Amino acid sequence: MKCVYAHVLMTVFSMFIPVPGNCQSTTEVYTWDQNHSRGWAWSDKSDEFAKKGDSEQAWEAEALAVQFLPDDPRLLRDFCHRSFDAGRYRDVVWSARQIKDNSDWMMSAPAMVEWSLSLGVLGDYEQASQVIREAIRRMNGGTGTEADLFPAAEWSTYMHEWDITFAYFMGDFDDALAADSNIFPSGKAKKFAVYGILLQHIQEIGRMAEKHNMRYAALKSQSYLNKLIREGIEDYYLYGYDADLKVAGASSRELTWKLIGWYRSMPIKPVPPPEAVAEYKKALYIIQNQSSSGDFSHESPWFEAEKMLFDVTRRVPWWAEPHYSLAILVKNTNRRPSNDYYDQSPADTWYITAQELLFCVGANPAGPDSAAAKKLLKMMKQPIPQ
Amino acid sequence: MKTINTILVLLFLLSLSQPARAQIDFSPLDPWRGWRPPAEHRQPVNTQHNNSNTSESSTPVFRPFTEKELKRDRQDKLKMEASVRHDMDKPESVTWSEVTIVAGGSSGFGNIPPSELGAFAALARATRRTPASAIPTTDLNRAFAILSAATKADAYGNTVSDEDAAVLAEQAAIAAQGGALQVVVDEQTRPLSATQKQLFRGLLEDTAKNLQTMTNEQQAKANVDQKRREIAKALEAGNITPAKAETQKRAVSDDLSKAQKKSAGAKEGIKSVPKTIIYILKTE
Repeated sequence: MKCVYAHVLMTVFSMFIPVPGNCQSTTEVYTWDQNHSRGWAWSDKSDEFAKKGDSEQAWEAEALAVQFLPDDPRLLRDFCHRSFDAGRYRDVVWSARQIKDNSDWMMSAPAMVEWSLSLGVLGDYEQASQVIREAIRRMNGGTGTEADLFPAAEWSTYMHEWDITFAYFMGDFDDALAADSNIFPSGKAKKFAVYGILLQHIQEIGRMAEKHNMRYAALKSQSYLNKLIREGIEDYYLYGYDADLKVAGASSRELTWKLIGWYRSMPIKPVPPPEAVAEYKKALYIIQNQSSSGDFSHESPWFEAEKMLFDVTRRVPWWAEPHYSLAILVKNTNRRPSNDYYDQSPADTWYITAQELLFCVGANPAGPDSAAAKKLLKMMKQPIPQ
Repeated sequence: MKTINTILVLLFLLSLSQPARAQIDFSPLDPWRGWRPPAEHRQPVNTQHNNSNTSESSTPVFRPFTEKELKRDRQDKLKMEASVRHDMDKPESVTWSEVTIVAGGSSGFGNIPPSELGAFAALARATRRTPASAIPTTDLNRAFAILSAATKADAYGNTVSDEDAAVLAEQAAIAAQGGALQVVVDEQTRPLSATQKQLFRGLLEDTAKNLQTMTNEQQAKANVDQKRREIAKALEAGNITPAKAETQKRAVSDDLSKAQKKSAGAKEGIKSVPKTIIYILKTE
């Protein structure tokens, strides 16, 4: 509806602007000079919209400007900024690539950060990381024009923080710690600082996607947030932050249910990420083919398998089958894992079993494990999610 | 009596100050759940207790496991392992791909309105690479299943956003080319009828043609300035007469004008892709 409204406004606006209308509908032939003046007229109009805070119309006007002058790097850079403000992340990626390929000398620190963040929102973390690292490289070694376009003092910390964030997306918390070169103190304080940055930035990426109703992208980034929060609660990162930890524990479970709700509302379901699939299959293989050694010491293969299953349920909370497998493992081995489980410290076997079964049925009520999970939940006198 | 009352009130207040119970009420499970105290507080199973009052005798006396106990322990372990293996999913039941797939790199300008190609840009590009007649039925079904989901509202009445429609169109494009998908498609639930298949192939062919027409317009636009400069240069050098130059200029303009007219029709065609998909959906 908003888009239609913007279109109507733009059509009305095109009747008054001193350029001959919308380039999409015209069949007149323009010379380069005419295209040039029309392109810049739309760009000026885009500036006006931007100053008024109307990012959607500013983006639309700049898009028209770019259609008149598709090779002008200044317009492309403006289009990159306008697209970012309007949440058109695919267009940010397109315009930044155009600048990089055709007029690299016009690439600036803000454009590269926007490019990297847009890739992050769209879920391409590897490229996002490459772009931000290239920006840091230019910032540190910039000469001439680059030094002007990459002012180190203003952007240094910000870029490093995003570099740390993308390192977490591509690996784990230790990778994020390793990505931080020297900006934080070492030891426990560093862990807290990095954890705080990750929490803030991953939430931001998710908000950017959610704001523009990008459910596939939001599900992906928020699943990483789920992992981060649960790692914070259940592992070692947040020792000492007891009060915050309990708050995070409550919100973590809500986040899991929220993600399951998103997943179920999707018209076409996404597949689990390949790395999570590999981890899940490895855990199942260990259970099927190796001995439990009778205990769950740290050397036991089943202990490793249990850790992997916990990790998969953290990474992909909307994937039903790992929840079921974890519930079965914990129930049949009567395990009491040494770490916390949501707000349970230490967690009881029955509690983990029931909660994981609830997540399994909630995520996919008609899934392959659903019937067995429902049967167990019935025995446990639990309400069955519909 | 008063003291007893005070104690009762205190007990009541104490019960109120207890932390709220966890989200799930598991109290009916207590007999089932088999709670055991943590290992460090448990009595060792293989200890003997001496009830005499001497301080020495209160210390647990360890003895080696008996053969019977060891056997039972082994049996219990095997039983537990078998039950886990029986109930849990098997590795071969997990059929999702473990290979990371990077979707076509089709992100970019032109994917979302009001750009010319709209959210279905990726599909238009893919159809130009793979002729519609060469797409196998299974891939055709998969592509259509994804596209139909991208064009209609979900069970909760939410319409698919432009960005999500672009994601799904990318996946439909991959499906049409027989690639590995990042979404789950159950094409067996409702395969396309013969008429639907014919219409859908027709739509893909038209989309490919429309994209080609739009590309031709871009090419014509790129050429027009160069040709005009050439005409001006020839006129200045005296190689052509002013009248001929004017005729040539008009011819160049006419060519571009024709290309633009064709392209305008092509753009409308691509914009109507979602409507056509809905029409095919309703066709039996």
